[in-house]
Amino acid sequence: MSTTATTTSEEVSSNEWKVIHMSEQEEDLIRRMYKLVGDKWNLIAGRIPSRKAEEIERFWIMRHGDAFSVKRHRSKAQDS
Amino acid sequence: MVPENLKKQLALAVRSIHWSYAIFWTDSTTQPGVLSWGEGYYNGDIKTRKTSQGVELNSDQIGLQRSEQLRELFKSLKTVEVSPQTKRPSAALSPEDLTDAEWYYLVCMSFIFNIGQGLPGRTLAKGQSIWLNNAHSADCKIFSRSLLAKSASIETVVCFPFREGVIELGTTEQVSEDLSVIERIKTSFLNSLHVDVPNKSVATLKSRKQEDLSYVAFDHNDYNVESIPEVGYEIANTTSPNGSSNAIQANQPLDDTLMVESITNGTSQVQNWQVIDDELSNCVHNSMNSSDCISPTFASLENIASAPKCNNPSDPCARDFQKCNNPKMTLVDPRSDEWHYQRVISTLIKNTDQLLMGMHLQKFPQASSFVSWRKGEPMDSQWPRAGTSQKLLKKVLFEVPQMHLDGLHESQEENDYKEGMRVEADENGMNHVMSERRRRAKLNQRFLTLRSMVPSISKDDKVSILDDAIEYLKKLERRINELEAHRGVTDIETGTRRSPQDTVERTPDHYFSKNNNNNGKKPGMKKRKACGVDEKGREINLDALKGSYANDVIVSTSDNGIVIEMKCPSRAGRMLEIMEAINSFNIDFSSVQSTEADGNLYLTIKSVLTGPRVATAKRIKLALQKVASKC
Repeated sequence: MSTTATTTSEEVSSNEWKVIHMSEQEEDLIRRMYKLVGDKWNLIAGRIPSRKAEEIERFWIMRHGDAFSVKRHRSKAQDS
Repeated sequence: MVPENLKKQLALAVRSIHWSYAIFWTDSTTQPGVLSWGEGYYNGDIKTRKTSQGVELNSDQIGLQRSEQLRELFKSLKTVEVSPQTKRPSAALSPEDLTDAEWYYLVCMSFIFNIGQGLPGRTLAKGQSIWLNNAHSADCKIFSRSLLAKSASIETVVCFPFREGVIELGTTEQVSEDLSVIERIKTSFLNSLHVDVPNKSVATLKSRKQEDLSYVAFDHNDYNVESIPEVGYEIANTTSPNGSSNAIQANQPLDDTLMVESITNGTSQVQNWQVIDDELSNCVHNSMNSSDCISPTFASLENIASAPKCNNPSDPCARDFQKCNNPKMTLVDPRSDEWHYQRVISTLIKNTDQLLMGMHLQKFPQASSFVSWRKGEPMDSQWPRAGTSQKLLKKVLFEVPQMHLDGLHESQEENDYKEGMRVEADENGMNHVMSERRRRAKLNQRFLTLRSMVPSISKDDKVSILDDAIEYLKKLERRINELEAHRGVTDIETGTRRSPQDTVERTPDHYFSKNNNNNGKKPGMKKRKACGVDEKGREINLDALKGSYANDVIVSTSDNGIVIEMKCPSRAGRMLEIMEAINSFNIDFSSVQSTEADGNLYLTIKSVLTGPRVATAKRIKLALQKVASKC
């Protein structure tokens, strides 16, 4: 006889990578600009007032990057 | 559909009111029922001027060229998105060359609007003008580009319906609502008003006042008056003799009228428009087929601006038209080949009208083409249609373009040979460049991912990313060692406190014994917590084991204790063999956790050394691997 253990894998988290919230309009504009110029974050930041290039890059990577896919799925599951 | 020459018309409109841009939103070709970018003209600030030729351009040409460059840049950026291999032409603008207003204009090209959605969509749905002040701070439901407008400091945006689409104009200045501005823009589009009349004749529109509208009767003969809709707020209807209407609405019966509302104040004006004989080269309608007709062009440059004139100089209508027909706003470029071509043809036609026209047309009266309409009078004063041949005209139409083409063929043959030589050399170089570009793109992608995973990156360059990653890994390694040491200490402490009875109770043989006081239940989490085992830590290790196939056994030792984690295929008696193997090294178990899943046995054994250390971690590992590998 044996027991089955429930396992959870913990990602290395950092306080600096907190979720960045963008308005729908900001997100739409970032997406349009990314389609046009790619990862030129300074150019994209120029179109979005009061947002730094680092913020936008971080937002994009957390939203679309492979490294954060697990986290995204988990947060989606929690929301639903 | 985008009307021909629209860019020049937009240029006239924007420059006449000194605004920043004009966009014509039209029905999308790819998605019917959706408004997309049709045409545009940029009239705002320019940061970097890039020209392919060294010729000095005037402000009008600069504006048109810049608009074209921005459109090309957008297209090239779109193609790069689809296929990154596409190379942008060297003369084209690069994204770094643009001002904020140019960026606004460029990004607008990517927008599409459903009918009733966004400013253009709502304008088309309502069929009336919309004037938006403080566009940069407008609600995104009203103006979806408000954020973009904020970055470009666009303050005022105006939309009005035009030819099954919407014209949008914007400026960086705050302009209070003024309908006369829209009217002025609409009248600037009157530059495309064409009046086709026979040579050496004067066309006069006579009108009479009735219920604040002027009714003008038509003589239904060969000659078209083509008018632009939206002169005022009413639609102008015209009747075409050839069975096809030039205006928006379908053909009207014979007694139809042209309804014109005055542009300035909505009240009727008695208008007497004259088209002067020498100002227009005319199209002769001798054929039912409209393709035989040459569109009218201004024959002399000096007289371009003076086409419509009013008899009454004090009439506000006259003043409006004089504003509208500013010589700066001509649509015909005197230097263009097209203009020259049309002028040559018009001269030929003028000189040979005796040959082209029949006898009955030579005796054409000099009086007006239009007659006053009276109720009840029969309209039988129509001129007979000519049936003469147009051989000379057709010859001119076919042979003049041929002359242009002959000159081109000679130079092309020479160029073809030279280009063939270049192609082969280019292809080899291109393959190398492409593979190099792909390699760099992959590298950059990996660096981006690495950068996203490592917090506190100081700089953007690759060396900094790698340095920070190395530093971060070292930090993680130190942290792991600290945690391992801390875990070892807690295990030893709990081991010394534990009684022999407890140890027996924790051995695998008794682990799930039904003789326990648990009524046949598995011992719960409480028992494990009593042992002081770091539960979360163990779960992570288990997870690591589940994922690994190469390292089936992990043995980590500290001063007083050993932690063994292992994975092996599950079968009867496997547990006993493992325990015997461990016992041979004088090892006492402080805790054992076993899990069976997917046909595998996962074990985590914590133990305390009772006697002298008999074996190293390596020997223990080898012994356990031998047990694990037995079938």
